[in-house]
Amino acid sequence: MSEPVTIDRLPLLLLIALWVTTLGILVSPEPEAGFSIAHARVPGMEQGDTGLQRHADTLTWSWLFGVTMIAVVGVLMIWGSQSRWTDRLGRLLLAATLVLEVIFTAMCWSYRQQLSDPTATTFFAGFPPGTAWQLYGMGLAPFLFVGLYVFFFRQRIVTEATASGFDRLTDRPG
Amino acid sequence: MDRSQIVLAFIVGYMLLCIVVGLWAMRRTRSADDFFMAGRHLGFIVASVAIFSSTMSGWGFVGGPGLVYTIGAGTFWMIVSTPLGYCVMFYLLGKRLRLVAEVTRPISLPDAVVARYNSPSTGLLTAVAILLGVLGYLGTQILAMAMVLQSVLADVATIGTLPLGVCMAISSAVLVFYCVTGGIIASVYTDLIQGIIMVVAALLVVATAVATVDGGLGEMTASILADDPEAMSPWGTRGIVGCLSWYFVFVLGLSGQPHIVTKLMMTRRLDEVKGMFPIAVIGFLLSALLWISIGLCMRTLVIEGLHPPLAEADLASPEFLKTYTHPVLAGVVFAGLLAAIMSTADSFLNIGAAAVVHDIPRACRGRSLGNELLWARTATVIIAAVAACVALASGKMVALLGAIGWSVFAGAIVPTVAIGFNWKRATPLAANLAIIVSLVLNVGLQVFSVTLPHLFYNGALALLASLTVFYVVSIASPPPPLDPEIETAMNL
Repeated sequence: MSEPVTIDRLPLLLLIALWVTTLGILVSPEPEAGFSIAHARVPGMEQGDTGLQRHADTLTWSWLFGVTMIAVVGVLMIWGSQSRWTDRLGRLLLAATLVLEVIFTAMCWSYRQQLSDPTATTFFAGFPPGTAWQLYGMGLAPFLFVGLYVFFFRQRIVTEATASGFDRLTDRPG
Repeated sequence: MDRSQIVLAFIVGYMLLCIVVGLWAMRRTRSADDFFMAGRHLGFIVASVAIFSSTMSGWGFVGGPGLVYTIGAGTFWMIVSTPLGYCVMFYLLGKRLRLVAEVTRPISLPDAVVARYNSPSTGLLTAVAILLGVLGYLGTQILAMAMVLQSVLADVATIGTLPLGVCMAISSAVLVFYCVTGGIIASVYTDLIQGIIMVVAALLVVATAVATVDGGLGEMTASILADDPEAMSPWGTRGIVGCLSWYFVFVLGLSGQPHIVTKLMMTRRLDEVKGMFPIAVIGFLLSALLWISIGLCMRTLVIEGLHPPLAEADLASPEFLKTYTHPVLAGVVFAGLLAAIMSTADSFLNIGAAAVVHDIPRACRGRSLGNELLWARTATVIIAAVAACVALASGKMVALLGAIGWSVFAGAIVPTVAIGFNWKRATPLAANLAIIVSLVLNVGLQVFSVTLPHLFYNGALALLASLTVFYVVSIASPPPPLDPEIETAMNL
C-alpha cells in the first residue's frame, strides 16, 4: 500500500529547487534600462521597456521559478487533504496542479510569441493572449481545487471518522 | 440634493448601519470568548463573506486601481493569486484550525500556537509579529479611511475641506464604536454588510467603466497596448520577476494572515468550511472587478488625453467615481470603499487587542489579565488611538509597516501555523527561528531600502528563508512531545 504524501521527503527537493531558481534569477544580468521606467508623456505613470530587452536573461529562470512554485502549492494541497498519490483525490489534485502548470506555461509562451511583434497582437475576450491566460486561466483554474474540495468533502476532507472524532473531542453525542 | 450630498447621505447611512450592528452585537457579547471568537457560532455565509471582505482591504479598492493605473496588468497577479491562496489556506487549515480550536478553546491565533507547540515563547513571538503588522496595517487603513472621507466632504459646499485629523477622528469613532461594543461579532456582521456592498459596488462599477470608454474593454486594452505593449502584458511595467515573486508571497502568504485565518476557528460546525470555501473565492473575484475596471479605465482615459493625469495614483478610484458615475452609484461605491477599509481594520483591531490583553500577558506572566472583556474593550480604543496618532505623526513609519505587513505575517505564520499545524515533526525552536528570520529580513530589507535584482520582492526572499529555516531546524532537532489531544486533532 502506498504511503501518504509526507512532507519529510518532498520539501527538501522543492526548497532546493526554489532556492536554485531564485538564485538563478538574482545572479542574472539586469537590463540596462532597468524596470519601472517613468512614462514618456504622463507623469506618475510607468511604462515597460521592450520585453525582449527586459526579460532576455530571466524568462527561462522565471518560468522555472513559477513551475516550481505551483508544484509546491499542489503538493501542499495534496498533503493538506491527507491524500495518497494513488487515491482518487490525490490523482485529481495532481491533475489539477498539472493543468495549472500548463496554463502558466501557455501564458509564458504566449508572452514570448507576443514579443516578436508586440503591437500586432490578437485579442481573446478583451485581452492580449498572455494577459488572457493570466486572468482567465490563472485566475479561474483554482476553481478546479475548489470543486475537488467540495466534491470530496464527505469522502476525504471531513469524513464520518473525522466528524465522530470531532464529536468525541467535544463530548457531543453523535 | 446635489451630487455631493447624495454621496454623503450614503456614507452617513452606511456608518449608521455599522453603529446599529455594533449595538446589536453588544447584547451578544458577554465574554472574552464572544469578543474574540464570536462564541464559535458563525454560520458559513457570515464567515465566508467576512473572510473575503477582510482580504479585500482598502488597499485593494483604493490602492489596487491606482496600481493598475501606474504599472498596468502586472498588478493582476495580486488578484489572481488570491483564489489559489484561498485553496492553500482551506486545504491546509480549513479543517485543522477548527479541530485545534475545539480542543484548546483558544481566543486568538497565538493561543492556538501555544497549545500546538506547548511553548509560550512561540506564542509570544507570534503575538509580537501580529502586533507589529497590526499597527502598520491599521495605520494605513485609518489613514485611507480619513482620506476617503475628506475627499467626499470637500465636495459638500456647506462643509468644505476638513483637516485630515478631524476626518480621522470621525471615521475612527464609528469603527472603534462598533469594535468596542460588539467585538468580533460586530466585526463579522458588519463584514457581511460590507462584503455585500463591495460586490454590488464592483459589479456596478464594471458596467460604468465599460460604458465610459467608447469600445469598452477591448478599446481600453488596445489603447494601453498601443501606448506601451509591456504595460498590457502579464508582467506590466515591473517585469516578470517582480510579478512572480509577488505571486509567491500572495499565494502562500494568505494562509499566514491572522485576521483571515482566525475566522476559520469561529464557525459553529466543522463542516461549515465546505460552503465557506467557494463563497470566499467567488466573493473576492467579484469584488476585485472594481480594481481591474477602474484601473484600466483611468489609464486609458489619461493616455488618450480624455482625463488629466492624476496627481497621485491612489486618486484613480475617487476621480473615477466623482467624474464618471451616477451620484447614486458614486454613493454606493464610496460606501463600498469605506466598507473595504473598515472590514479589514476591524479585524486588525480585534486581533491586536487579543495580543495585548491576552497573548502577551499570558506568555510573560503565565496568565492573562483579569476581567478580560473590559480590558479588551479598553485595548481596542488604545490601539486605534495609537495607530491613528502614528499615522498622523509619521506617515513614513506607517507606510513602512503597512508595506511589510503581509510579508511579515506570511514569513512568520505560514511555517508556524499553516505547516506546523499539519506536521507533527515541527518543533517550537524551528517556529521561533522562522518568526525571527521573517521579522529581521522583512524589517531589515525595508529599513535599509534594499532593492533586490530584477525587483525580486523582498517579502518573497523572507518567506523562502523562513520556510527553509523552519524545515531544516525541525528536521535537525529532536521530535517534540505532543499533547495527546492536539495529536488527536492533528490525526483527524
